[in-house]
Amino acid sequence: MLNYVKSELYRASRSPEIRETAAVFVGLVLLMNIVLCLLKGLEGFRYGITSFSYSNVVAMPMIFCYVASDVAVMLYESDRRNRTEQNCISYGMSRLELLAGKCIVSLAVSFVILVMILPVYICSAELLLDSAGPTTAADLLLELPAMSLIAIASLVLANVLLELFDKSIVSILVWLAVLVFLPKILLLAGMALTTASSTLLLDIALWMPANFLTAQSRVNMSECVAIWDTAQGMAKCLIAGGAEIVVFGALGVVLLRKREL
Amino acid sequence: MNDYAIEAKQITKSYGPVLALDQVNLHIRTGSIYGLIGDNGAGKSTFLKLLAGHIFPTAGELRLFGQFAEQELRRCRRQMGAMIEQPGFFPNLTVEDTLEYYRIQRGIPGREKVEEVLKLTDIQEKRRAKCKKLSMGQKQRLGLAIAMIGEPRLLVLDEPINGLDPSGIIEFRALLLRLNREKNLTILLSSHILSELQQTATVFGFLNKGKLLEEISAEKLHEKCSDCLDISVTDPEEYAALLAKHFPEEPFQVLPERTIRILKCLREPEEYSRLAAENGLYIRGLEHRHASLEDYYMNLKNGGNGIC
Repeated sequence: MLNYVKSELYRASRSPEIRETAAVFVGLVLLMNIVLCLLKGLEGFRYGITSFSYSNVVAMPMIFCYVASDVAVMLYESDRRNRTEQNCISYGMSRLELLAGKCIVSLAVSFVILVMILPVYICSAELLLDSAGPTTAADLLLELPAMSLIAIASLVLANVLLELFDKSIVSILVWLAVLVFLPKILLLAGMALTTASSTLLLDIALWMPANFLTAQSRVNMSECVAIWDTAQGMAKCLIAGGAEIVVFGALGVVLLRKREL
Repeated sequence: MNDYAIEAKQITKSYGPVLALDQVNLHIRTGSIYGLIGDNGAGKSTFLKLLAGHIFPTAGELRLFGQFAEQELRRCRRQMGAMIEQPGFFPNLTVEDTLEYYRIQRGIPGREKVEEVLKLTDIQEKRRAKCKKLSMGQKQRLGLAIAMIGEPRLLVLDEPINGLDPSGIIEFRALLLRLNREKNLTILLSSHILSELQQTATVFGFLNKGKLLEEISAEKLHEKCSDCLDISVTDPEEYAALLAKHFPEEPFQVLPERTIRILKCLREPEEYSRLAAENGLYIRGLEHRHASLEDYYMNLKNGGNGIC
């Protein structure tokens, strides 16, 4: 598996897609800060401050899940169509080694992209915008460890689904259903129902990142209260992320062990 | 050391109600070139996919170099190079980067191996070209290069000459024969182009509707397909009776259009003419023919014993 990871990292370093994706993300954050900088001279425009720039990410922590999964999709959505996956299996790799390798490589590439984006994001914000408002770079940096396991879990799920379904669009829709829509449905059901089991439903729903990250945080122009500001909240993020990794990993083992290509 | 690179024992593969392979017993000796022959849907690709681990058998046992446990099979697959259905590569990588990717993946030390397979498969000129820009024949060569980069003992190729031009086919054939001779590489080939297989394979396996009809060596096949004589005669029934009476050691078949085929021709054509003339029959035509692999296969498929 180590050789597979090495070869995939070699591919990532030689593929234009990865460089283009990194460039797009870096370009987007830079563009956002440049636009805010250009508009801050307008009368009544309140958003030309660092707090507004940072709050875009701090208020939407699920963005880490989207980016990590996007990397997995970019790397592996054509793996079966290109018959490169079949080559690995023909060479004696097990399906689980392949899945683990893909997760490691997607994680490594996501990390590299993050390392490229963050300095540009923070430096451009600090240089171009006025330092004001409740949300600071420290909030953004604290978000990283809080979201690390949750983002890894979403990346594992993305890889499992890409392996499981022949069409990438189906994988993406199921990914969204599991990580975004299902938690919301459970939350609504838990709140709407009055049966004894609804409390349990609500408890489960509130342990799902898509729910607790928004329900237990208040990030806007006047305040910045994120769930990871407290030790308890940080622990919840890490426990939920760890549990998701175990669940999605186990799902991958069960569903993909004997998957035919 | 195991005599067989591949052994299939009662291998069955079904997709729901569809039986793709039905209790196939197949044996491929180490160092042989095995030609797997069959129509579309006969089960050739299914068998190759089973070998490569892309799919799992419904029943039966598959052995690679004598090993059959799942983990051992995977280990043995590291000694196998395969190109099944189409070559696999990343469209946006160059040929050289693709081979370097597989060299790293297969843990082969030194970049020289990339040069070696580029040269071996004659795609050095395209080394900087992106894979998606290659012609069909060049893609096939790249597929072979990928299969060869792991220094395999067994090469499994599904329709490998698809898309190759005539000179490419000749070079490809020469390459396979050379690899077999010099490296004692065992090769399993499937192809629709039977004349091509006839020039390459040392053993043939005939698959039809998921069943293995026969395995036969090239020598034995040559013997069975030896020269025969087609005689067109005015009254084939009467002439057949004469043949049975006068030349009982020579097997024959009565074919449509008043033709009798002498399968094992032991005499000069004049003797057959004389036999007809002496019994008031007229010979309308005499034609020597050497049965091809196609004839043999078609006969076998249609329920004959293979003799053309």
